[in-house]
Amino acid sequence: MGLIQVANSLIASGSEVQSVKLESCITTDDVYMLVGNNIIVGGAGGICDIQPLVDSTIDTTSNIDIAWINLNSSGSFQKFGNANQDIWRVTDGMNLTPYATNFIMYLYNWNSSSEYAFITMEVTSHNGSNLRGYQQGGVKTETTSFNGVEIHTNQTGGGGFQAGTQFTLYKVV
Amino acid sequence: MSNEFGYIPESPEQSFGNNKGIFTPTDIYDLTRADKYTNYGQLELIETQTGTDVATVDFTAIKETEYNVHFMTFNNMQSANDNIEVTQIQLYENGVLETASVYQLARQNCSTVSFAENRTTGSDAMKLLGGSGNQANEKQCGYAYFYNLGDSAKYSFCTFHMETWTSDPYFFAGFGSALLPQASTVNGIRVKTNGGNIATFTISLYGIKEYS
Repeated sequence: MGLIQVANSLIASGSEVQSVKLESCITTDDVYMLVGNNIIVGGAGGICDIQPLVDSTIDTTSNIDIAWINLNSSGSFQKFGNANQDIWRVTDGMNLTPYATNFIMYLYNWNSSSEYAFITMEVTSHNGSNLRGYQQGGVKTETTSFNGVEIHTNQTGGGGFQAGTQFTLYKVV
Repeated sequence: MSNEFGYIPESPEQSFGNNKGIFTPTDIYDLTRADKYTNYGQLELIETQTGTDVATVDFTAIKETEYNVHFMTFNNMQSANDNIEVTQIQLYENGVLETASVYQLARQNCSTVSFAENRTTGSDAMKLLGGSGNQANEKQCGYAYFYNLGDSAKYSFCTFHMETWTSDPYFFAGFGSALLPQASTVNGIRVKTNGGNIATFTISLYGIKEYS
């Protein structure tokens, strides 16, 4: 397996944002790998969600089906499946440093205009109380050709994603 | 009008993102090793260790200042003793191995006979999977990602997916995440068992390089 970096966003101090778009970087039918590293926000609580892009436009159609298991270190694991939602959720337990969220998300068929777009995602995070890890699979049941990805949080503290938060997209070759 | 069409200076300054000239394979090899050849993002092999009959396998040159995310693969992992966990992880903080019961773990076990949750906030290691056997074909394999190891201000995280043929025998897999909840610089990774030697192993550590 090899990786070719096709997009990168490292949040700098003074440039905190609630939304990051990696645009026009999915250009082939290869599998892509999105790495979210050291994701932190300016206040406790809040979500981190992902949606596909066509150029700079977010596809908000509610046709994403998912299944995930929430593995945490101090309570029963939660299993959840849902149909027709409009996002892939990384976590709903964002927090301040040194707590953080990290994930690896593989993207399948995102460039295709004839196949559904699939994802697998593995998440490890600390929400301030305990370790939370998610394993998730999902599909967007439309055959749109997506060429980018958008990551956002609803946490407004400090402007959203804090300095050091990084999203990098690789093509898997 | 320039008279230098097609002319390449003898020794143009080379740097990442600013290469000039025509390169031979040797040039590319040398520049890549010097991190001066433009090649956006790679899965870079740091080290592979393979062998037999050792108590532990240590990775002590993990290039934690170069990579935010590390990727480790495990293959042909087998213990000398029966029903032993052969992929337990401990981390070195500034060269000091953390062996206290401070690791957190959340793992979903899956097998052909049952499913179970494994969780703890006080483990002495990141235990990536349960026991496997020491007979032929009773091996463990899988992978793990590590996050923020080199950041002294951050906790060190891990996600993993492992599988094995157990001593019973049946297929057994586990996936989940783990954490060392201490803001510290991790500069080494130890792989160990919970009893006796590692009989066989092939472990590779990669860095996932990124360019900001």
